[in-house]
Amino acid sequence: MNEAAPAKRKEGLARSWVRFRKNHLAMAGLIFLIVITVAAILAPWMAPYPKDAGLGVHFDKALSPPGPGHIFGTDEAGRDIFSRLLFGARLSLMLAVIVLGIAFSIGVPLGIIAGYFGGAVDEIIMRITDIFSSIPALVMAMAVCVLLKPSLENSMIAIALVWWRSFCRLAYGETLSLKQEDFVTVSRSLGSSSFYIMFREILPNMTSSLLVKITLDAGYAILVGTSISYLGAGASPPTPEWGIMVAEGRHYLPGSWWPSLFPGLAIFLTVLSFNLLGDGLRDFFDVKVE
Amino acid sequence: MYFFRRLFYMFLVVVGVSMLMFALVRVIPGDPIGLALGANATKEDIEKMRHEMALDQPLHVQYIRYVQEIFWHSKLGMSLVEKRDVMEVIRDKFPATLELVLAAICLAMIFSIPLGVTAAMNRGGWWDHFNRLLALFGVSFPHFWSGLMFQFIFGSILALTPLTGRIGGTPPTDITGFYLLDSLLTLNWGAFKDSLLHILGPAVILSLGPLANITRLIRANMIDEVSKDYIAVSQATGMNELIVRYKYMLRNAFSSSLTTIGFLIPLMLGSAFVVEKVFAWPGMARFGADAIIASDFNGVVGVTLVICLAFVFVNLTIDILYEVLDPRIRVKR
Repeated sequence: MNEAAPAKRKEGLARSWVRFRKNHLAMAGLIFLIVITVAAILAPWMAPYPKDAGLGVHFDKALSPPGPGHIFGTDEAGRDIFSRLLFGARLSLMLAVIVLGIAFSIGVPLGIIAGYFGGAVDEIIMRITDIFSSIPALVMAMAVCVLLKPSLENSMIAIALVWWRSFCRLAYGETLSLKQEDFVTVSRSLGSSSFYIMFREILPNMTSSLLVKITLDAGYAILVGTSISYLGAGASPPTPEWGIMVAEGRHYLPGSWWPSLFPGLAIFLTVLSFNLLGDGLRDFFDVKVE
Repeated sequence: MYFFRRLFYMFLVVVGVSMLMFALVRVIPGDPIGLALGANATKEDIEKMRHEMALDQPLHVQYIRYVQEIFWHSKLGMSLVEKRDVMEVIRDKFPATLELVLAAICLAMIFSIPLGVTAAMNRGGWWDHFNRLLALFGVSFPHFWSGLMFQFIFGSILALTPLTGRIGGTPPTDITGFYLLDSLLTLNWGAFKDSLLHILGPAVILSLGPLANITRLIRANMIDEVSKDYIAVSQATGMNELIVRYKYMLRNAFSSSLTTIGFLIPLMLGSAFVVEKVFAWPGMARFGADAIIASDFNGVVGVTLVICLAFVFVNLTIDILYEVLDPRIRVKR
């Protein structure tokens, strides 16, 4: 080990970046996600009518079609849809971060422990995972959410409490194959503790699979979250949450299509971007993650 | 031996799910009984109903009674939404959901198999890239929105399909519970066209995700097959390219896709919660969504139990199908 190592690493990263940049679809996804993240952060300053994200109502302008002043039109209470979409981006991105954060911290350690120790620990953890895997995420998350009392925060917690199972399965599978590797045997014979091997040797080696999984799941989690809100078990109006905006806007179809079209389009494009990026990363790392 | 082990696991899953959901819905802090009886209910009424539904008993006693009721009287408890036994509700509504899910999976297969095969054959070409983009689009739509837009475009603007429901006129004579099949069996063309137009929207929307998944899967598995020796041999003998692709390669590629296709069915039952809600499809999933929102605890447990049983059934069927489709597995076990 010498000073050349970090320089080499830097060079490797730069080369990878050049290789990754050639995937135009993945780059398009990445760029859109950066734009939407910046828009979400700057929402209070970027939105033409920041007050419309909350209780502001202007019934004189209700349901005005897209045009100058309101590029995406206004909803049934005369609120600017574009402004509400910007604030909604915050909620959707927050949902993805919170859900995946909790699910990751529950699922990954459980999966590694089950895979590493095997035997009874494996059986118990994986049979519980089976139980959670046999019911669609949307259904169980919705049930848990109603139980906790429908709200945006609770829908995030509910989805996370269901989501850990897929991280557990991924970490389990990866651990089973990684623990056969020589570096684990070497580390063990050098006297490393199980804890050290699991989280300092095995875990870092599944980074690329987990990264792909997180990217793909972020989009999927947003789909589930907005669906729960749409069905009335999550956020409630006038929260500028995208799912609830579609639910509210549908009453004005077919005459006024803009209150339901644009929020849905925002969901679609965000989820698509995560999928484009995740798919590109999957190719790039050459890992099999569903 | 392997099969019995699987069977035991699946049994554990069903028991686990029933216990989990049973306990989950009973710790609901709200008062579903009061809600169901309305504002005029007195305290005594509520207490009486709680007693009748055995809600004043300890949890394990309630669970044992619940299981006894299932096996002795084939009852799943009173639904607060439908005001009748959940078993009856599910028996009425399950065929509609099953018909929708099967129609969607058929649609998905019909389109995904040629798409997947041709994409694999033109690997790296523009058709392959286009396919990939199509697949990524398919899994990115929120069902409630794509459903609404389908209704808006094909129902309202073009007036080609009905907006909601399962049939406009009188339903066909009940044989299987599937309107499409029943109307065909009774040669009732009016009802067939009617129900076909009604199922089109929800089935297309429900099939988008699976369509994308199966296409990608078939493509990947076909690419795995291309490099195998038997392909070179059959090509060397001058066998028809289409027969090689669709008979030999697809058979292998398809059987390795089976597990995932199987997993899609329970997943679609979940998506049906949204799709049936949007299209007012009178199925079990819509009842399930209503039951969850209304804290109809017996309804929630009943519907999740049926979904779990569907999951178990599909999994075991795939295990058996694998042996039929892939002789190598028979030998290994």
